[in-house]
Amino acid sequence: MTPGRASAVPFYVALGLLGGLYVGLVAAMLIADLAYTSPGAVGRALASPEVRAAVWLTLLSCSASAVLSLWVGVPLGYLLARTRFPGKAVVDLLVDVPIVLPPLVVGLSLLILFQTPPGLALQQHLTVTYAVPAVVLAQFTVAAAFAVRTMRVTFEQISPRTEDVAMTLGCSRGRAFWLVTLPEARRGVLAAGTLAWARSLGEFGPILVFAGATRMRTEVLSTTVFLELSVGDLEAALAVSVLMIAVAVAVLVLTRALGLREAA
Amino acid sequence: MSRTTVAAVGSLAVLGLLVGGLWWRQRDTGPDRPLVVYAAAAVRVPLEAAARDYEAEHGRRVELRFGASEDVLTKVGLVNPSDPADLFLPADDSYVRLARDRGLVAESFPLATMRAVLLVAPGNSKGLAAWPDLLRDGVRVAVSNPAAAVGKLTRDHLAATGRWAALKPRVADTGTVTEAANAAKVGAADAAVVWDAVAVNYPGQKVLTPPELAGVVGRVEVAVLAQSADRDAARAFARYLADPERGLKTFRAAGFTVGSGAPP
Repeated sequence: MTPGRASAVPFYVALGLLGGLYVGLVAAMLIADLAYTSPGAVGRALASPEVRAAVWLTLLSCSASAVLSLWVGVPLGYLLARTRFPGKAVVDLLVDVPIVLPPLVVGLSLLILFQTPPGLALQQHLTVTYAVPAVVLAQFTVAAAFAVRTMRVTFEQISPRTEDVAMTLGCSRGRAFWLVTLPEARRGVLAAGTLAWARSLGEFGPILVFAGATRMRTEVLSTTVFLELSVGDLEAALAVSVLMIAVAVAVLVLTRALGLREAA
Repeated sequence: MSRTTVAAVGSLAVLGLLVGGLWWRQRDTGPDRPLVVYAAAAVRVPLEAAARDYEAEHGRRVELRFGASEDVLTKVGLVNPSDPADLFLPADDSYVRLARDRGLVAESFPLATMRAVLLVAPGNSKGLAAWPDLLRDGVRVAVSNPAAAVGKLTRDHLAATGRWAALKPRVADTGTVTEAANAAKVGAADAAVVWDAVAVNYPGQKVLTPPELAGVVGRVEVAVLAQSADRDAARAFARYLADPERGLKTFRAAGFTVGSGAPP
């Protein structure tokens, strides 16, 4: 072994130990959850019409929230990464607000927003609060912030040179973005979409405050866990938690597989 | 057509399908507006059963929106003219009093009472059998904080009887009564002060009824809200809940102590 390699061993061992503490914590949590429940309990949870309805609403709302987050995250991420404009610092700060605010405050702020005259006027035509649109909006408000951050970093890491070359060859700015930069950012787009979807899945506080917990109507899986815990049914709550973990892992594995195939 | 355009159009098509799916889920199932009940998640089990029976008997849909008592109190306070609430059923009558003070309550009906008991952790490793056992070194007792009625009433009662100072060093504060019960269930606390109606949801765990807690009694009331758009229907459902032969049966089955019901 060369001296360089030998001296690197303690370094990597130290890194592995420190990082392993966190990985071990997450793994231990999952193992504890699995140990506390059983396949039978998960099966009973899935047999419940309320839980099945919550699974469908979770899948639909998280997917809608993720797609909407991308439609906001890509343009805003590009603007923040590549341009200068008045008030950019303020926009940058505002995008972080949903990330740093306590979840309950996000929900309460949305609830108050829809009690203002414009909000009430909108609700004359489309009921938002305590209805399905509130579920999607609560998820989107937080998930979009993560999508914007991811897309900003993605665009910052892509050299603007290829876009400039496309423009010298006659492309407009928009066409260069559409045909050159955005295809280059596809893995970032996939990462932002996955992150937004996962963030939406874990959302609870804003949904509880803004959309309520109405069974078979605004109940997503995180709401189900809360409702089961509220009546002391820890087994059912953990069974639904395990279900959430399974859904999340399936989506993450699927999107990563698609991302790898795309990269290949 | 570039791949970026295909992806963008595809994402819009997917979004359209998702919105369609969500709209289909949310479509109303009847011509009448449902009776909207804001209720504490802790009374979910008996309330869901009573609402199902009421819908079957009277054909009027009942929409139950659950949350923590303080959360649903906030929500009924945010009056939305396009989506008014009809009834309010928190975990105990202290929240009905708060709602009445804010001018939100038109009338209320008593439903049931709850007594404070000690829910012992599975296995009872500390051998708890009577009140003095709680004061031994190393014993941890979960008591919900004063924002929850059982926490406030227990503290007040024990302070008035001169027992709180001795118990206080052993107390672990929790947010809600169910969190206290769950702390005992997973063994994080050796015992928890909870309502008897909560303790019945933890079969297999020892329940003590020490005379030291005899004076801690909570009452469950359902309130007809002043904002109700159909107060007669709201009153009819409240009376149904307070009927010893109908709604109160479900509360009794869920472990609540019910009285003679509402006056005719």
